[in-house]
Amino acid sequence: MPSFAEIMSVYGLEFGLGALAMLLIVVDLITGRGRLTGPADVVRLLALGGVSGLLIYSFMFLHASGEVHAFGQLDAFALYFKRFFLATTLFTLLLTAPYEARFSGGRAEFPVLVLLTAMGMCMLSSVGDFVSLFVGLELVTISLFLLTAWRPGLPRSIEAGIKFVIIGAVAAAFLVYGIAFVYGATGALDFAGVSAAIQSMATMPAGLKFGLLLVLVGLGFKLGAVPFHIWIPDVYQGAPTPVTAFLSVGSKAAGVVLLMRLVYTVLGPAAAEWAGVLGGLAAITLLMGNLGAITQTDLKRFLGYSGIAHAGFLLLALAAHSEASASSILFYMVTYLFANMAAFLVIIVVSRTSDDSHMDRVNGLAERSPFLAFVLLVSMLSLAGVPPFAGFVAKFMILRAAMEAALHNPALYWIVGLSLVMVVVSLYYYLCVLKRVYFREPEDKGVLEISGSTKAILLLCVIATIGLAIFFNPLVESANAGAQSLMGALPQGH
Amino acid sequence: MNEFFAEYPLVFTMATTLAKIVLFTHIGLILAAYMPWVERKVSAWMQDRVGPNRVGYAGLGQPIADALKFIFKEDPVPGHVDKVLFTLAPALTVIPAILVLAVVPFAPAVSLFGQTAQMAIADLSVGILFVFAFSSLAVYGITLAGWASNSKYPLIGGVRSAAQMVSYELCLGLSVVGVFMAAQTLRLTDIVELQVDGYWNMFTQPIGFLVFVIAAFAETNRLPFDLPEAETELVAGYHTEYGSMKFAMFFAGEYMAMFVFSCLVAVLFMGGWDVPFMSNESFAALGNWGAALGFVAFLTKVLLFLFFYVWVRFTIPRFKFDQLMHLGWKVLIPLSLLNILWAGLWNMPS
Amino acid sequence: MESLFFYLFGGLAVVTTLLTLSSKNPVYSAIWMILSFSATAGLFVLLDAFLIATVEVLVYAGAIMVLFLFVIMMINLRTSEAERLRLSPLAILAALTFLVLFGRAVSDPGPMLGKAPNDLVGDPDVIANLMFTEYVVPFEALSLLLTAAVVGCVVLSRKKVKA
Repeated sequence: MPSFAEIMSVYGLEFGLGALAMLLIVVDLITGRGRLTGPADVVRLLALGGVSGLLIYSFMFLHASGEVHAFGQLDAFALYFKRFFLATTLFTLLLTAPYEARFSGGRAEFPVLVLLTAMGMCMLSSVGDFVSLFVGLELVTISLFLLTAWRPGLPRSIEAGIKFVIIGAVAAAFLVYGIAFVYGATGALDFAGVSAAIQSMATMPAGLKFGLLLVLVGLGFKLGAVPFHIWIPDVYQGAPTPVTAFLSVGSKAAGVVLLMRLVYTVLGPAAAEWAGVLGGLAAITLLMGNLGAITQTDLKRFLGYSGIAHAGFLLLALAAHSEASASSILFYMVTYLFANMAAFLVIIVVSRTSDDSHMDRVNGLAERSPFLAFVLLVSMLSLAGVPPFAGFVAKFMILRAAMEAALHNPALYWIVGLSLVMVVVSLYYYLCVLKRVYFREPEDKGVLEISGSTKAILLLCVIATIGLAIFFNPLVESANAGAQSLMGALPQGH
Repeated sequence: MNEFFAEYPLVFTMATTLAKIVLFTHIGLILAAYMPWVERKVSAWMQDRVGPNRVGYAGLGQPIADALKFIFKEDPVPGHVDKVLFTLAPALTVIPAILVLAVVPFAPAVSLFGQTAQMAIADLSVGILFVFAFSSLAVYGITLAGWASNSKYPLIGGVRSAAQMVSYELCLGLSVVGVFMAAQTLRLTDIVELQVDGYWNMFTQPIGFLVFVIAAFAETNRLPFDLPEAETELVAGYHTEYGSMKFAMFFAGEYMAMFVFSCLVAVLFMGGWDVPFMSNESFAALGNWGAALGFVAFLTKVLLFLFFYVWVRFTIPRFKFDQLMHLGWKVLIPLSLLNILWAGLWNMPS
Repeated sequence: MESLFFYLFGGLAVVTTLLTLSSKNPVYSAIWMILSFSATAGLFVLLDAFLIATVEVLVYAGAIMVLFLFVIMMINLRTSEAERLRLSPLAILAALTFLVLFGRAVSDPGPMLGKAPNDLVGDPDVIANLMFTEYVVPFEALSLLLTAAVVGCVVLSRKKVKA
């Protein structure tokens, strides 16, 4: 039986997030009677302070340990992702501030659900068995369902919520069904046990393959891989913009962290058999995501398709299956975080009054606010992977890792080639957006006012995006450590 | 006989189980049949009237006369109803109540022919959960009756009943958590035996007891919670369109449910077959006489609680629907959570 | 005897599930679904998993389906005028692929087939012990999941707050 101290050594951050969420509910209850604006501010400040505190704590006091418990572990990989999720959460809460006035109610509850989602995400980076995996994933998914429909007055928000619920439920069903088959074939639910059982088998029985395939499908929904991407455009468009940002980075990362854990730890050496499946998924995801993005006229849908395209890159790295590719995924996620958050914050600002995210809203943005235009420029070019920005380094790392892996697995050459073509395609559509920003006439010539705090966040994203392109070493080292711990964590049983 | 049963214990089990089924369900059915009479007599007594006194001694033949009347009445099925569900619904109110009886322990174990027989039809390890599982099905009868009648008062009654029973099932379930926390088992026989040696749960967990009793009234749709059939506003609620035996089935279902909940209150909170100052050993020492004593004690408690049901009916007026929901969600659920906390502290391992 | 009951409950589960899908009237769909859950509970009983069987009836048949019925009755859905199920070729292809894969999976489920994980699987004590020791982390996480769901539902369902 695990002791409380053992559990806290792994899930301390999650405990902090959960406790913070409960504290917010209580604070809202005490201060919230009769007033509408006051408590939301108190609650928001508390949430921001708490998450920043936890983030700082995770950097200063938390250390990765090689200990593998039955209920999870805090290796360098998990720690890397926990910090990533905390940063994502912090950004989401920061993005909420300029958006919040559009909520008809539930301002104080919004950060509570964001925190609980974050808790689920952090938990997912540490989980060591399928039960925790499922519970953590549901914690993330169900909170996100609710956050997506957070503006009940808006039909689009409700529609997005309903679509998300239905497709999310189907995904969960796939996942559970898959877990049942995996359990049936291996007799274990913990990753170490499943992995040991797989390694003891000469060939995988069909039931096990089927189960793993279904688990892959379930996680593919989270990740936004084609053909499980159908929910993304509508949900991204309909959800409140901060939630879309959260979804695009956090939910994707949740899928990534689990897929990596499963592919590298559970499958272990058997993963080579799965490179074909992952590579095929990567190819169609790259194709559909990039081609789909071209015709979009709504910024949030557009970023949804671009997110699918990025999922394709992540899958390519997974298919490559090496330490270098694992490390490149870790690096990629961080660059994606900064570029994406900046883009969504710009959307929040430009859609301030009209609250729709049609691309016309950014027409002539350069005239209305040169700063915002510059931020969008940096963000789009980083997402496209153009040299002076972090996105370039990330894509380069993935492609290099894939090329190395292709020496053993020639099929990867084709996918790398395809991805290069798709990078060019993506450059086209990202530039289309920038063309609107710099060369179209604005519909409304008024100067856009940006608050100081928004400016500061945007500046941070820009600096990070440029800075990571130049001083990428510290992050790469920490990503390498994460990848190493993931590769090294082959089970010894317990 | 003893050798025969020692060799074939399965035969003994099957024979006793069959006997128990016949015995216990009939206790329930007979009590359910006589409850209307009790109800009318008690109300008459409370209102200073005489009550039924024509058929037999003190009107004791009245239930039989009523039953005959129901049987020989025309069985009308209105043209606008959903025939299948309309016919099925009355049965659905009775069946869950009878099924729940399967786990209720009526008396200490009896020994016969060198074998012991538990005095519950099926002494399941998941006893309490079984009770909730099947009592939660009782709502379908009323809800479907309301829907199948295809007219507005029954529908409103059916919808009310669904809302009410789901709401009160929560506090019903939560109030029992304290009981099995104390007993560390879900098996009803064990829960009773623990109370026989220790204190009755109604004394150690008064809040849980209170919540359970209130929820039991709501679950059986009895006054002050009879909103699904509130005659002042809904004609007769979910059974407006029913007549003859189908109507009688609703009646029987309601009284069966009352009987079952009285049994549950006795088992969970009032020590089951316990008699004050007796222990499990003294029951065992008395042998089958102990079992008989326990059986009488148990039935006494059940009858007392049934009387309490009737007593409340003619004392407390009906709630409004918003009051009902407020009581269920904002008062009883927090109270039952408090009871769980209390039970945890009370039974803290030192 | 046991296999007789297995086919009885299994067949019932399959038939009622099909009827759930094919019923035009949503109330009947719901009722078939209740029966389907009950048949599944019967299958669990045959596996000596009494706790799961009871929970199946309690939670699914007893609680969730009541809410279904409640909603159906509240919005007064009668026979659905929804368009007939259209089967796109892609959907059929996907379903067939799944069926083929499923068939292969069932024909070769792996070495664990037929091994009961634990004789006491139906005993609440065993499950309670696992829940509070080995699986205490997901158990506690579940409580927060429920909190999140409750908070969200209250926010989404309450009337518009007048600012």
